[in-house]
Amino acid sequence: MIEVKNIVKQYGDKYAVNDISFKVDTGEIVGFLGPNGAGKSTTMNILTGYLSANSGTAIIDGIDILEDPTAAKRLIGFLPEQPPLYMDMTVKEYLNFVYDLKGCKFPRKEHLREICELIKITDVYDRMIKNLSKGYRQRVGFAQALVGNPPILILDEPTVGLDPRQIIEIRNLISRLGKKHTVILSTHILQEVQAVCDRIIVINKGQLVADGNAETLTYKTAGNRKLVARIAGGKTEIKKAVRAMDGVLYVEEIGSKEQGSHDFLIECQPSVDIRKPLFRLLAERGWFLMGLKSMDMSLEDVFVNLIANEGGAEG
Amino acid sequence: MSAVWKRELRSYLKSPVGYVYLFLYLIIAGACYSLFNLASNSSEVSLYFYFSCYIMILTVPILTMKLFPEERKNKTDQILITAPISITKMVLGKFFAAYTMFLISLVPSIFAMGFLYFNGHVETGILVGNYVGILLVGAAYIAIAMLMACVTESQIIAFMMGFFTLLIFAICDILKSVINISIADRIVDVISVSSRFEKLASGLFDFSSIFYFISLTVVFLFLIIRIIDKRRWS
Repeated sequence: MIEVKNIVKQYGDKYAVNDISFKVDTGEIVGFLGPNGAGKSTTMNILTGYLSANSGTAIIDGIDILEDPTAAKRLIGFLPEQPPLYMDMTVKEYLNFVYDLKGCKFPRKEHLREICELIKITDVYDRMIKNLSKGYRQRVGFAQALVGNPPILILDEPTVGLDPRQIIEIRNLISRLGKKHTVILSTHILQEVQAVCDRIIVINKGQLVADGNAETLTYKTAGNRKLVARIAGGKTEIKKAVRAMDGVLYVEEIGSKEQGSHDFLIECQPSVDIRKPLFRLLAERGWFLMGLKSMDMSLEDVFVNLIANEGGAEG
Repeated sequence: MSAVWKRELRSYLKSPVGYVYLFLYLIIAGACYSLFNLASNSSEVSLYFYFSCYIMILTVPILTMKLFPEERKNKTDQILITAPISITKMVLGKFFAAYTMFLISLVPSIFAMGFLYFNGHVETGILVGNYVGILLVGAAYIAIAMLMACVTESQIIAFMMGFFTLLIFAICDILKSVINISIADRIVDVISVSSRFEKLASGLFDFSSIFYFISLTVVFLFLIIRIIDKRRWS
């Protein structure tokens, strides 16, 4: 549906986007993740034809955005970082203007009413946009992107400025829209991508750092595996025995929260699953395994790791 | 194109800008009419139009100053540029909205001139020539002032630049007599608006003048389109 090949955008000698390539399939919800200034908005602006890349191509459903911009733009609904609202119009006038601008052919009234109900702005339909709160303005901006029912939605930080309840509503809405539309959204909020996206593309300093779903990203960047085991038995013997196991790199006693047992932090090589041999070892030696917890990395850790290894681009 | 035209026109009529424009133009033009025609009991129509060309130096930039700077400040240009319409259509939509306001401001003159036409001695050719002239000058002035608005994000700067650029186009004939250098003469001959307007106003159906005004409008509109398109690349 969307194919981006080697796009580069330069401002002077500074690269805003440096050689980014990716593909998005029909029906996918893809999250652009990255710190502020990473090049998320620039990439989206190039995809929507607001900016032109210095080199590289952006192909929307087989149409090059530079060769036939009008046809490509007709397929895209775009919510920019700052919703493009005319303050001197009412929501009704504004959405009608967008309807005309996009040259839609649906029955006008029903189409706009449907969108308003979906986005929940029916109650402010006749109010001036300048008198609306930030949350409502954001939603009107969202409604604008949906006018014309484009197959692709590009949303630049769609939940900025909303209260927590509205954020959940909008996330649910994006998930629902993702069933019929291809969605690309950018955010620097990790829970957001975790909550709604099928796939995550991490961008840092204008470069693509990682591309995959949450699990593969976690796996790829996880490094050594960590476990916490609660074992009943003698502290020093256990430590010695576990340390002697194949693949174990490090063992540390990190406290005793239950009487007669100790908690151990066990770090082992990424290729080794220590859980089964550990269980056998403990059973042979007559120690009891009271609890075992794998310390998976959260997406936050993954993100911080990825951003920290700057330039370490890997697919 | 019609969506942009409709929006801009509505915005003129819903904000003070449109009324400031109409008020300013009509009050000065009305004063000219009272002075040259009513008070002096004359049915000479040319003076009204001749002075209108000078009033427009001040009033046209009021019309054009908000067309681009406001969009860029509020980032609403993003919806226009990412919408499935070409930049040409967007620029033309804005141009015709301003031109429509200009036409509205000419409506009262129809009554004023009609009054003279039926009660005095007005040559039809001269009246038509004046109208053709002012319609063409209006289009060219709007395109020139729009270009000035297109290169800045500030409405005040857009107004000032539009005003001074139009001033140069309008009064370069006066400068010519002051400076008196042959190169300046030739430049003035190329850009002079008033000499061409006067030709049309005298009832002469001068094609080169008509062609001049139309090409001036087209060239400036083309430059605006190029500048907006270029901005996406820089």
